[in-house]
Amino acid sequence: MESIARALIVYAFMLLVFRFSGKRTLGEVTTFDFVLVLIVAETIQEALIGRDLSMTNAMIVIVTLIGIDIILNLVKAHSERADRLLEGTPTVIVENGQPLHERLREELIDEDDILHAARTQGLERMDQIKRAVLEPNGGISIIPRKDED
Amino acid sequence: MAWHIHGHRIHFGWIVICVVILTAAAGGFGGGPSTRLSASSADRLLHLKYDGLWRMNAPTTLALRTSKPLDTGSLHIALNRAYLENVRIDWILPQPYLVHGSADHVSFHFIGDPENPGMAVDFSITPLTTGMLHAQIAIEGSQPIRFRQFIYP
Repeated sequence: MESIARALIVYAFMLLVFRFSGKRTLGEVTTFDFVLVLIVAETIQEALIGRDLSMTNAMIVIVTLIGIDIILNLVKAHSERADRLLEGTPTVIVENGQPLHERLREELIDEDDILHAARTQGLERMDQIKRAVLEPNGGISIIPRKDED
Repeated sequence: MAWHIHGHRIHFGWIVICVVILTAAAGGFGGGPSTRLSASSADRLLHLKYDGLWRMNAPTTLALRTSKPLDTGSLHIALNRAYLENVRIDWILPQPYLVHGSADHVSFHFIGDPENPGMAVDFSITPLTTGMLHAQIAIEGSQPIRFRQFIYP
C-alpha cells in the first residue's frame, strides 16, 4: 500500500510542478534545463521507493505510475475541461509577424526562442511568421506567412 | 488484445495493471492484514507479530511482546543464528545493552523495569535472501516461538 501511495503522491506533485512551472519547462530543453531534469529525477527516486529496494516494489511503483497515466489519458479523452486543466491550452505568441510581448513575459520566453523555432522551418525573420503558438507541451509551432498574405 | 465494452476499448494490459494495483493495495505482496501474522509461545508469555510473506531488500518489523515479569530487571532475547545469517538487523528498539553470540543463537540483553511486568521489543530487519526462512525466538524462562517467513524477490 505504501508503494502505491508514494507513486500517487510523487506523480501528482510532479504533475502540479510541471503544470505550473510554465510550458517551456517541458519544451525543447537547454543544457541547464536538462541538468535540472536529471537532478529532479534523482531527487524523487528515494521518495518513490523509500527504503524498500526490492524488485517487486520497483515493479509496483512502475505499474502504479503507468496506471495513473492511463487513467488520466482516459479522463482527458472524455473531458475537455479535464484536458485543459491537466495539459493547458495553446497560447498564441506571435500574430502577423508581431510578437505579443505580454504573453512572452508570462510564459518566460523571448524572441530568440521563437526565431529558433522558425529557423527549423527555414524562416529567418519575425515578419515571415504569420502566427506562432506555444503548445501545451512547451514546443513552439510556427505558421509561416504565405506570399499572398 | 482488446475488447470493446459499451463503445470503450479495454486493453488486456489495463486489466493486468488494475489487478496488480488492487493486489498491492490489499497487501497481497506482503504487509497487509492477511500476511501480517501473530504467534505466541506455548506458555503464552511471549507474543510475536511478523510478516509471513515478505520481500528481499525491504525492511520489516518483528514486534515482540512479553508479559513475563522481569525479576532481575533485564530481558534476554535469543534469535537463532541460521535466521540472522539471512537478514540484516537495521535497528532494535529499545537498544540492547549487551549482545553476545553462541554457536546456534545470538542473545540480546535489554534493561527492563522490575515493577512493570512485560516489555515490548521491536526488531527492524531486512531479508537478504529469498526462500523460506526458519526462525526461533525465545526469552529466558519461556518456551520459544518458532515461525517461518517466505521471502520473494
